[in-house]
Amino acid sequence: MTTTTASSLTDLASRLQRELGNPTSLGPVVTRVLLRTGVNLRTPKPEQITDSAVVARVSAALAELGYQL
Amino acid sequence: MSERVLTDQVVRSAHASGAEPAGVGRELVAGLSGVDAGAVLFFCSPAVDGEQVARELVDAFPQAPVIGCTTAGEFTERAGSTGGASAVVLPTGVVRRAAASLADLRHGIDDAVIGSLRHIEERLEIRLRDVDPRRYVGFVLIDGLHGTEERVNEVLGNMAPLMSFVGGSAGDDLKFSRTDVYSGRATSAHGAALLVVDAAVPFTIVKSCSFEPAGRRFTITDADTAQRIVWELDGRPAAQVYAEAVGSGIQGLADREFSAHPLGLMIDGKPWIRSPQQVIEGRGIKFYCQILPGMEVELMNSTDLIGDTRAAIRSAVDEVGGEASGAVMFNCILRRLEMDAKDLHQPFVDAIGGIPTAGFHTYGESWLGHINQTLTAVVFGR
Repeated sequence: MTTTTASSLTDLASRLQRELGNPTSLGPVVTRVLLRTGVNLRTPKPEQITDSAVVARVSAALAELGYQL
Repeated sequence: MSERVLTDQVVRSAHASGAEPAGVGRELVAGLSGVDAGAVLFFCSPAVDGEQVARELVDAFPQAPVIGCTTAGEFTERAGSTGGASAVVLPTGVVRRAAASLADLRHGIDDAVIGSLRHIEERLEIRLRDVDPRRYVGFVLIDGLHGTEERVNEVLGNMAPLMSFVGGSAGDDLKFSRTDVYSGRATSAHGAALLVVDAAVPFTIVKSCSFEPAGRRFTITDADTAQRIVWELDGRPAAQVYAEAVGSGIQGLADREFSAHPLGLMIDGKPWIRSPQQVIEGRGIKFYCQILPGMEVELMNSTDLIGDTRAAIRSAVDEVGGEASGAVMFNCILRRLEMDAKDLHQPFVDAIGGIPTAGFHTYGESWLGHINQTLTAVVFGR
């Protein structure tokens, strides 16, 4: 169980990967997040990586998908 | 790794031209008979009595779930039409088990879709969130006139984030007055028909569009997401920026420009197409699906619809082991209109390569989200 809030998209991506386990599972989740937020969790733009608003938006999309990271 | 059952049972498809609308159901049943059905999908013109077709298929295949919808044209691997119907039986050698449900969206999308998925989970005694996405696949047929596709797909994703639901939005031969979806004997003009199958063979998903980036990238800086309107690209009126990019004036923007130059949301190098529909108030552009503020999109140039379709289907066949037992396909109405204009219907049917298939021309395509100007499909192996 994660106890601290993710501070960056990189952090979120690694937490998600840990949660999913199987690397092939990442693809559909990343695509769903991108379609909902415009943010590519696998290859984010440099200015997005630590942008707290972007991190919060992606975090919320992941939570809606059932991944409380 | 799930165990795969080898089968020589082939998917069977049927087509009815609609020359005798009252006989379409009988014609489909005759073409599909003799199959131990695991699931049935049908697609029919609004000129055909879809409820009657559904009843006849349910009576003919009482052991199998049946879903369907109205169309803007329908096809199999042998023929295409408007005004007729297509259908496919996925036999038990391809589909071990299946369950369907109709989500009535009139009183809210989330509860309706969740309720339908719960029903399917109970029937199959599974939790969709936990199933092997290489073994289970879903089909989704959404009514094409209420703009609910994005949310339906999101709820499907929330319930089963790793699983694919593939499908399309029901059409009505370009009348834009009423589209219907069917599950068993139930019908809805504001709903979604859902089918989940437990595949006994390998399968893969096709998402094919015929576009490449034109080299112009825009950021959405103002949009009304719910209305699918983009007001600004790069901080300027969207219609002005788009018209300049395609070498036209705003007044000159018409279906030809929109169809040849949609916008693509690039994901891992592949475009997820957002198609412009019309200019709004001389400055905004309404699209056939949502684009969010902050998204980066590319202007697209059209390529070879038939060649790209053929290549995508061949690639899918390779992925499932070199031989396909059958397929279900969902092809955008804008691609059909291009096929109309360029006389490409027979080449399109030929591009399916003889794989037993039923499909229809849609008002939008679904896979992980809502997309435009795309062919989505599930191709089953042996």
